[in-house]
Amino acid sequence: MNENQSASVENLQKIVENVVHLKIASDFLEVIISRLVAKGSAVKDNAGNYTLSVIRRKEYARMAQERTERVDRFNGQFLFLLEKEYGRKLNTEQMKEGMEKLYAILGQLTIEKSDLIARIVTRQNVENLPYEVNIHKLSSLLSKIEDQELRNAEFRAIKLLFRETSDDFYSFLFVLTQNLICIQILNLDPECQALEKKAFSEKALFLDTNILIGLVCPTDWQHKPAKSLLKFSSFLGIRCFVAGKTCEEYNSLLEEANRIFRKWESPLKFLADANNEFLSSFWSEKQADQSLTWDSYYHRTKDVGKILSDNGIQPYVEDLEKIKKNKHFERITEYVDQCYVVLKRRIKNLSVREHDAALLILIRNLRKQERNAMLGPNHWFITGDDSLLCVDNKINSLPDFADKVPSSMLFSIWLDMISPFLTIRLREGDAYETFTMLTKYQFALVPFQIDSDKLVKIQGNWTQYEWLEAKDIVRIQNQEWTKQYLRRLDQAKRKQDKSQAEEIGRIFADKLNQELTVIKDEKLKTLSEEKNALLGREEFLSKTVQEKTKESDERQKIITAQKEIIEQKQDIIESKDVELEKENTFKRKLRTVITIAGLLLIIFTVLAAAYTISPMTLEKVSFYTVFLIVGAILLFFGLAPERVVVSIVAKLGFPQSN
Amino acid sequence: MDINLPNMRATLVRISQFVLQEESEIVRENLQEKVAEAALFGV
Repeated sequence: MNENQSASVENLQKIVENVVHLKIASDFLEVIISRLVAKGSAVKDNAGNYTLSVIRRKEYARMAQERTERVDRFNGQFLFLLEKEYGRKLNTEQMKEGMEKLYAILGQLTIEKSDLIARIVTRQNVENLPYEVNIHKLSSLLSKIEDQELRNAEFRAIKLLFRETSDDFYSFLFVLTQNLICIQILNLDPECQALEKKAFSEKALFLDTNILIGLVCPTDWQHKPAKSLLKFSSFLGIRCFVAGKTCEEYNSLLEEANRIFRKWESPLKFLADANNEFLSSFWSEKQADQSLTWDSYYHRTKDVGKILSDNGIQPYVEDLEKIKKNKHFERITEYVDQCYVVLKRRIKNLSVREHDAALLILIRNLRKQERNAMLGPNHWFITGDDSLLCVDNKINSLPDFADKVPSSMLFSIWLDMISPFLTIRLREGDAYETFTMLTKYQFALVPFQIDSDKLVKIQGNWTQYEWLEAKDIVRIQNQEWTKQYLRRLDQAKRKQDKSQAEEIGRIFADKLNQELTVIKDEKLKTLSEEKNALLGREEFLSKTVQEKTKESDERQKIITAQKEIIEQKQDIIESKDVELEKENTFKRKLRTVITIAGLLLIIFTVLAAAYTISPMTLEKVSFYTVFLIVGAILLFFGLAPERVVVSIVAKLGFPQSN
Repeated sequence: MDINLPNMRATLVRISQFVLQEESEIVRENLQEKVAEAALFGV
């Protein structure tokens, strides 16, 4: 449709369908547009067609222009990254293919997520929801690019775009996600009966242990998103709870940290890279306050009641025994284990498995008491663990669970879901920041972490070496012989076989020393290479300095020579000035003499004429006239010679020179 | 919405140009009206 062109409801219906793949009945669309006319946002003409009001059109045009410019900028950034990763200039076809694949991936990411949210909000098609709404399908989407080098370059460029790019890209992605969520909801429920902001006041979120730890530990990547979750929830009137079993889990993890810290004999600096959030957070806080002790940190962190009340979270006392009596409890506990092993390739301990199973059942039980919930069910288990949706899908296959809506939701999805209902200020501030952080996290490089529990088992004098770094400890921990040592040590301890424990300890010490020697040699080699590189650089700089000094000396010579010339010229000017002054003095004296001579001649002629006036002859008159003229000429020459010369030249008709 | 749309780039860019969300207590009406406005603008 062209600007300022009116359209019928049928035409508008087609536009909505073509552009956003949204089907709205024409009579319903007319009701909506009539509301716009009543508000003054749209105008209806005599033919019954509609146009957007001038003011509204201007606002849209400005916004659309702004967003188009942003898209153009990040497209340019992406092509720059792609070309850089490819290592040579891209032709038009390659650029086109690269851009198409980028948008195919963005489409997959945003459409799947918005579809998932819309299905939950409207409670439609909720069975077997995808539990992996992320970028793991990147490789399969790129596999269609035939040129392997280009394919690899595209893979790296997309990751870089997500990791390092500017606001333009994330702003586009954020707005796109929000708009898609709304469009998908409208697709499932065109009348939007589910959309009531006040419906949020009925919602109750049960926070998982990982969210609670994220809230307490500033070093946890979930810290900021967890804070945002509480802020937004409070704004929308959503109540947040932490179940008794979750508090138990939280305490058990804190006790684990306490146990490790009590045994910790390695330098405290290694706590910064520990895989235990409590330990790394303690180290981080200690950097800001050196007087902080573990005991004070531990006691503060152990006070869950205060942590909950400070953050506006309510404790929830569930009947755990009753939940455990659910005939599916053990099976669900197994599902928790299976899904975690499949998706994370790690094992959850029994206590955590039981916690997750209990919370999933608790939510389902609480939902049974809900009446006419809008925006999906009212009770949710909010977690950072994406394996729980897999468990939910399995629970749906069990009898007694009629509601097929999952009981858990990733907190990133929850944040995306509620962000369209926030104020513009919250949305463009914290919500956008949190969205960017969570999306970037999917593409972040996994940082190495020291297994703090393993370290206290293998620590010794070697951890005190000045040159030892956290990555060296991780390298030692990842050695197969370290893993074998820890397994055999456990066995020996169980058997209470002291001699075997000593024997495997000796073998481990030998291996460790060998490895430390290798690490040390590598470091020396690296240092030596760095030193050589520095020396090379120093030599280069020294040569450059010499060349520059030489150049500078030559320049100095030229400057000196030029100064001498200037001085000579100044001397010449000065001598000329003296000569000129002398000449001027002489001229002044000469003019004085001429003036006096002229004056005397005139006086003499006048006096002589007065005494010899009778008899006046023609000869006498001629004689005195000549004298008077000569006297006058002399007088004029003496007083204003230039004027006399100029006027004589002018009278004689000579051309004047400049 | 199909995740394998033939012209995904154009679709996503146009959707991102919508000004769907504004301050409103009545989210439902706001949402419907913004879609209608976007259609009238002819994004």
